[in-house]
Amino acid sequence: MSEHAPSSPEKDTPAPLWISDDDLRGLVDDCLRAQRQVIAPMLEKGAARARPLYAPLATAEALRLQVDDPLPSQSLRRHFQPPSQALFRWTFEKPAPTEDQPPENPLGKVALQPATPAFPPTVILGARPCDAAALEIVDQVMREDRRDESWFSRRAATVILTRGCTWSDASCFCTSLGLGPDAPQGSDLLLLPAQGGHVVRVLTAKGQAFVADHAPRFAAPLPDHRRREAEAALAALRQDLENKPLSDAVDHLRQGLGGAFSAAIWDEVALRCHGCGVCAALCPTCYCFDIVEEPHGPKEGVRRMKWDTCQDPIFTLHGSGHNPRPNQSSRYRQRVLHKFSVYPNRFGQVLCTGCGRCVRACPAGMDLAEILLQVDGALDHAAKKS
Amino acid sequence: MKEIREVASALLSGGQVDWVLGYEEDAKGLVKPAFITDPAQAARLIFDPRCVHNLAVYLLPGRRHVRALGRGALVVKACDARAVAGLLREHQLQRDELVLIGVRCGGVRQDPGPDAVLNEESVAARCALCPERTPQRVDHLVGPELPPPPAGNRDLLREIAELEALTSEARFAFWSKHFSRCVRCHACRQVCPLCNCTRCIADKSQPQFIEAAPHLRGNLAWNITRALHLAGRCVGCGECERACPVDIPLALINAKLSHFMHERYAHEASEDPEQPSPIGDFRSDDDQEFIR
Repeated sequence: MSEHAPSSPEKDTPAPLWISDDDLRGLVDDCLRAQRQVIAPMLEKGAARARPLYAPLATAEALRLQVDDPLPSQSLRRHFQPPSQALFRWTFEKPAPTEDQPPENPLGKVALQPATPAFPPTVILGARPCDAAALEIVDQVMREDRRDESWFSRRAATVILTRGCTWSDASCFCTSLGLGPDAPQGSDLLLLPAQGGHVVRVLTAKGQAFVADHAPRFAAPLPDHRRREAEAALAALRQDLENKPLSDAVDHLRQGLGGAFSAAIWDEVALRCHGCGVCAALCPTCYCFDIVEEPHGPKEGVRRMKWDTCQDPIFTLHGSGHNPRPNQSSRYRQRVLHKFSVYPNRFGQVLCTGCGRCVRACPAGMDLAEILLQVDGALDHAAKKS
Repeated sequence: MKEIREVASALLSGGQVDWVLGYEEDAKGLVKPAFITDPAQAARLIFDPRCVHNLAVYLLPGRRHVRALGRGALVVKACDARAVAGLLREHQLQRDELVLIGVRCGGVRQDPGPDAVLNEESVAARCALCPERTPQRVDHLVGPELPPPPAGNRDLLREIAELEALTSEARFAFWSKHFSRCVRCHACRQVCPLCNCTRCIADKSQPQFIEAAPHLRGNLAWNITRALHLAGRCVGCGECERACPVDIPLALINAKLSHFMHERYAHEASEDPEQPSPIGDFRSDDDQEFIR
């Protein structure tokens, strides 16, 4: 299997393995000793709300194995595309003066120093299936046209051990997008929680190599009743999450049917939207960025990449003052159609994993799943049938 | 609840307003802002402790799509009414453009769902600091008198006292930890009814006063500027902290500033739009100990 090929069912699916909770903590210990960064859901103390965050573990004891932990409040995005990343530093250097050749620029010649980001070998332990899948979906745009080296160097340095979902709420809608509580996309290993440990599904060659490197931790036989227990829990959750009307609405949008772009409904839909961009800040599949210069005095500075969002009016504001997306309805429409029409048109997959963060966190109560249904309801149904 | 619906329905059918902005509940038990334009839809309106949102933000001149709907009525709690007073004080709004439906408040939750239970765990910390739970200067006052909210687990004044007991290095480390999480989405600004600048300093690049990238230096500059610009104007509605996707405890800053304005200038962000804003007011007897 190639380095970042989208996952596909292997011909010879390796038999599932077992790892006990003790061995899982031991595995974290092994990784930390080997100078690997281990990122797992953690609680940040003193925050306005105590919610799990994907953050580096300092010790194996800090690993949270609670099955009722809610979805981490932020996605994995920041670990692969940091909110702010220095691309390079620049300085003006005065060339040695020569008699016949005055320098073109009185400040001198520009010299660039690459700001190589230090990203250590990393294990992500306890990613949610929706967050792991997002990485694989975003890979496609990151390799389109020009390969994003920063993204792929981080992807290559990371092994992703996803934990099957045991928690869901009314905002989750992964199953309407072809994913689910044990979706394999983007994961190297999938750990399905059971009493006292996890059933381990090996999904990629990278996962296979990781297991081989830590073979003693995966050596105990898989108790058959634990496998059945884990699979039953997943099946029950999957059934809970089924939402056929929403799956249909997503299908209609991705097929570009019904004239969604010119539908009148966006004004009504976006009326309560603040354009605050919290949805984009938390979204596992949003990847838009801006490039900014930070001069430190006239002779040196840093060029940075920073997160950006289509929900901000200045995202599309032209230098002339003209803004092709002049109001929140056009900006909200952009968000929805980019994810559910433009991206699948180009790459075959919707740019959403149904994690529901945008729904839970929206200060104005914008509910993407509800809005998809509402938009679908307003579309030209005759066109949808044809 | 019945009263709000009756008032809204009467205002719409009588042609006094084109829209009423209040609260409604969705299928998940989550409360959200509701724009009602049809009197028959007024029955959707509710009021209970899930109605946390400060709807005054929709009155900002920049919300052109709301203004385009015509003349409106707004359901306000006391904190929301203080925000409306702020907009009137700063000439963002004319009082006769607007009908205010005030609702007596017994405190709200931190989050707008999933249930309406108000207890020490769910109550918004800011409600303990509320000076007046009955909205003033409204056109219609509805709802029964309610008992004060329960004391919450989170005590902002105690947390502030704890922070002030720290060394300045430790305090800086505390805020650095929280501000380093900031992703500069500026949601704190977008949901703030008093953030009414036509063009925010954070969006200016010529010159760039505040570095735009979300690293600690730029984040400190942004958060400090935001806080100082809201000193004495902030009504403590808590929307910024509620919206913050990375859970920065902004309520501590708001409460500290409001306490400071009270101590030093005997100023409160009141419901009286005629009371001058401290940022635009000068008194010869102002404390000047900082001028040396």
